[in-house]
Amino acid sequence: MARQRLDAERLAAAYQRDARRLLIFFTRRTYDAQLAVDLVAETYARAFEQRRRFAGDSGDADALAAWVFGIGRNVLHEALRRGRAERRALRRIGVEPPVLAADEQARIEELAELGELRTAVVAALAELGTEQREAVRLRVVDELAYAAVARRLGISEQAARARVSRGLRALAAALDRREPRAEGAT
Amino acid sequence: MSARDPDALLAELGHDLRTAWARPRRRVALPRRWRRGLVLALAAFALVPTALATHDAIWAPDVPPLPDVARPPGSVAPEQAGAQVYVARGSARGVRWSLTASACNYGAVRAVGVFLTVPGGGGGARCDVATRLPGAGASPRALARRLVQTYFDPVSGRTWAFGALPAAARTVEVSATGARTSVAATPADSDAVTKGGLPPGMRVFVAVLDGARDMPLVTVRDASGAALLVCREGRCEPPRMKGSP
Repeated sequence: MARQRLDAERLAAAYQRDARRLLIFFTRRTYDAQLAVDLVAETYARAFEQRRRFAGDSGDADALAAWVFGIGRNVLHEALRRGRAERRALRRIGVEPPVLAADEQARIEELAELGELRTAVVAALAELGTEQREAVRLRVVDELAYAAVARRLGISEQAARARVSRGLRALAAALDRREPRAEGAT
Repeated sequence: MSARDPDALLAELGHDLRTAWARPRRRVALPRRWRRGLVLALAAFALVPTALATHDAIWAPDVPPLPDVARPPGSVAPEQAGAQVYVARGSARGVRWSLTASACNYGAVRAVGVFLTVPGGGGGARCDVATRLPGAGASPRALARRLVQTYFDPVSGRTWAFGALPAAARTVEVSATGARTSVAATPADSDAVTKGGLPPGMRVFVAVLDGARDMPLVTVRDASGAALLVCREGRCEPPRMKGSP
């Protein structure tokens, strides 16, 4: 069967399916609703410009979502590096993303559950227990070698590694529990 | 107050995008006298990506800010912190790497944070985590002595030792239990050193050891072969002379 090419109509359908998840994806990574909206807009503008490079079947919604999220990750990377969205592709097609009012920003943050995410990290840190939290702090913040962490805590190096590892896993699990299945397969 | 919820905002944006995508591209016929100008303009545009590439080759992605909750008690912010810059790139045993550095000034003390990036990961240290808490081991002076870092790369199964060294450094011997290697201390990219506010003449090294190894012993030698610094657990000090306390 011949592959279906990606045209504006199919991309518009993909936008309808995936834009909300992409908005949540960006909001959780930038903590900035306005920047997240800009990034969604720039991502789809670039996807349109690069639509001929899409090698998959545009009828495959998952493949298309993965491709668009891949572009989104690059757009996010550039934005984090420069501290703002580039909007180059958007300017070329003459689109201005909507400017958000304060309450609209709050609604997007609510959609992305940013408050709950912060609470989850603080709660996960609090749940670690003093010894585990201290081990994570010494290793991650003070950047001590495991041998030094072990000496500071008066435990073996192996126990220090296990303590830090368990602490980080608990924090990662707390964040994973709130991650939507938004990124698509890559 | 606005009535737009996230879906309404996305619908508005989606409508604008679809309208733009549906717009037919216009072809503009240029008068003959403009064509030469267009060629010159295109030539200029061709140079711009080169300039951008140079820009990207120097400025590295900034290290994300550290949340206050993760800072040690008594933490002190640097009075001045330089941007993260690429100071060296290379390849070792078939693995490509890049080294970035940033400088933090705490009064008269300057600490340098170094990060190594390899495919699938990387590691290093930031220079903005000093604390004045006695015994915490992360005072500005302690950070300034932390010149060497190690990173175990699970992808290649190797331990990378790397760091930023003073201008007089020429060779670096890296030794851990059962493994030893010697590499040159090469000058860091001079443009990056200037733009990043790093120590003038700064040199760098990247060495690879097979397997997982914790903080090897690193000896830095000058052009005459004399030991300049001895680094244990990443902290570097001039070697102790015989008879000194």
